[in-house]
Amino acid sequence: MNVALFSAVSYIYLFSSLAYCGYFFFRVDEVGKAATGITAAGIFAHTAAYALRWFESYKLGMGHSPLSFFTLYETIIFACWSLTLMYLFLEHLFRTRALGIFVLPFISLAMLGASGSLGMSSRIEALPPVLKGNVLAYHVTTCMMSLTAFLIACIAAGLLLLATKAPGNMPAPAALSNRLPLPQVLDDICYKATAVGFILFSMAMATGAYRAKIIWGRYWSWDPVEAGSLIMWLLYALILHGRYQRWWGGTTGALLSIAAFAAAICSFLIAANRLMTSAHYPIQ
Amino acid sequence: MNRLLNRTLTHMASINFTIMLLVMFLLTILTDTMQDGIISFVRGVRLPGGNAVANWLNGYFSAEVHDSRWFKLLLVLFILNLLACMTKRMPGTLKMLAAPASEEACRMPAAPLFEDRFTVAALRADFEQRLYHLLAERLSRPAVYRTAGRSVFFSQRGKCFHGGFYLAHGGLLLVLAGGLFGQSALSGEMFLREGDADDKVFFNKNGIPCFGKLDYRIRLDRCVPVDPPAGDADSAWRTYRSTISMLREGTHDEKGTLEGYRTLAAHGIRVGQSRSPEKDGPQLTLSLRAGKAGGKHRTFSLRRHQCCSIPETGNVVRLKEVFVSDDYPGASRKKAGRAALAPCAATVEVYGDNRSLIHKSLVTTHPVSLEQPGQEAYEFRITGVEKNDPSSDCMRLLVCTEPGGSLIWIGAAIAIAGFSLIFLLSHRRIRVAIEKSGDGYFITVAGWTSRNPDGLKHYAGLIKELVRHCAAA
Repeated sequence: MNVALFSAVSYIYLFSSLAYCGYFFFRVDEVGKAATGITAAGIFAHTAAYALRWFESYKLGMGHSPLSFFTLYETIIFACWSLTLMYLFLEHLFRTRALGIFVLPFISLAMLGASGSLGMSSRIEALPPVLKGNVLAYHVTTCMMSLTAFLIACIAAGLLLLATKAPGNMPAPAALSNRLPLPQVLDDICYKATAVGFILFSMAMATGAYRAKIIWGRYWSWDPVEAGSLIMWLLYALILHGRYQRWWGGTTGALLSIAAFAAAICSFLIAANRLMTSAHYPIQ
Repeated sequence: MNRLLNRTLTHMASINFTIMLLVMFLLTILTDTMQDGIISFVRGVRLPGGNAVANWLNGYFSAEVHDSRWFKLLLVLFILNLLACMTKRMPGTLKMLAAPASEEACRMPAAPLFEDRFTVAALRADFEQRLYHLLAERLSRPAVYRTAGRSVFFSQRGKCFHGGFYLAHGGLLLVLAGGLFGQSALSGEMFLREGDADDKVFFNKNGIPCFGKLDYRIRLDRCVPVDPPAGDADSAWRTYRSTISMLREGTHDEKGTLEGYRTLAAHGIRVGQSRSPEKDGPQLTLSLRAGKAGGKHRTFSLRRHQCCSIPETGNVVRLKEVFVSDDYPGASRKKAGRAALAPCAATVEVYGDNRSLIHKSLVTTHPVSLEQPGQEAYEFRITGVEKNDPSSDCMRLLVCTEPGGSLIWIGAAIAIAGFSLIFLLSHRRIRVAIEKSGDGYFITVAGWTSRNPDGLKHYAGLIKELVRHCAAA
């Protein structure tokens, strides 16, 4: 039942993506409001589907929160939920819908992919013993939310580069720069998303260290995932310190944000045992 | 002396130094993590001398980078940087160092978001008083610094931001201090069968086997398998539930349960268990002769991983591994080495007074003598083998102490609270500097904020106009 609801949510997001595209190109306020409304309905249905999946896992006798991310399906649907929530919050805060065309299609494609197109198993699986416990749920939840915040920072940074310079150092086409928010606004979105992501990621590292102490007996063992996370944390700390000192901001800050997000993706891939072997992977 | 201290403190607390340290940390950890990739890349490109470079890198990375002295030096510098930037913000320190100019500098970033200057020919007599009240009314009571020909009024709104700075940096210091205490942590293992109790934890210290003693004994009461979760028939997920008791002298025994990967923390130690019990070996009756000239002949009955102490010398003997000829036909024969000639063999370890290994040897049914200069001589011989109950299993318990654990958690919580205050709370600073020039006064208004730079520019412009109004004679 929950899978059907998640599939329905992906179509809701698809409609909201179309509405955001319409708003971006035709600048009709009613379309923009409709896009926000559809997205809000989507997040509401998404949350309900989450609650239903949780309830169904108890009915099956496995009783675990879908925030444990044992399967790729659960990881993707949570990432999409958190990205949508964060996007709506930023839209409300900055009173701009221009980012919707870049965020919502991404969310709807990921949801559609997870809901069947990519042949991913959406079955509720029993958790291996190593993945049981509330601390793990806090760890992975904060980790995924920080990644989505960093993704928004990266998107804002990319748009900032587009708004200020087109490829080949040419001025950005007026058709594009007129539709994007002001560079200062994009810079502020990038900074705020990075700051929120940094706080969440610090929480993820602290809960991860606590979890490592419980399972491995050590807070820190220089595992590739731990090293990758520390690199990421240091990179974002560097970006925030440099920005405070006004060494960078604008284009340089945007490039650094994109580089830091690339490091975040590498760290995530190591955690999923795709780039390097790590004891982090629960099946090891 | 004060000047030197002030300059050192300024350099150590500077954001340039922080950024340099962050970059060095980044590069070090990146290199350490990517070492295998770097070495194979160097070999793969087949440049002249590439192999020599790869071999050098291989040798260099054979020791862990994060255990190297220079990495520890980096950590010490990081701690000093955190301490310096916290100390530098404390007004008491600055007064002690008599450095008002540094105080101004540290209160406003090098490049403020707003800075504007105007000149007035003469100031009103009560200008400073009016400026003080203006800033107190608009932001907060200003701090005033006066040097020859220059006065600075500094006011800020959202002092939690400063609190956030202290909390974030102080929290990180606590985490590092906790990690430093954690260096002395004991992390080892003990092997127990149901009903066995022991207080000895075996571990390796710089590659040498050692054991440490806990203040109390741990007993394994029961170890039973737990069925895999419903809906999953895969027995790979099968876990074990062990009940243990902590036998403390003079108090009642404390019981606890370990299940799967879930550990138990009590009285400063954390106990975990291996994923599954190990099959028990046969029980050996070990005949031991201690001392050179016909020492006393003792007989011990030991199982694998069990220990006994020798009253005459105070040393501890541990039966590490057991090999019985029936058990190792074919491939295992090589592992047993010369023990294959005997019906059974065992590796025996002798631990000295300082609880570290002094003898280790393979013993058989023939007498084996262990001698080492300056150490007690021993002669071992296996005098009997008893078959155990085949269902008897031995559980490996992982025991570690947690010095500094609380510091790490408190520090992490404080640091996160600090980050939240820094990044999520609005903060504004305004600095008004009055300088006497040849024929008038320069008044500079500067402003900085953590959020909403456009709002600040508007606000600081308004303050500037009010200051101009106050100054007009």
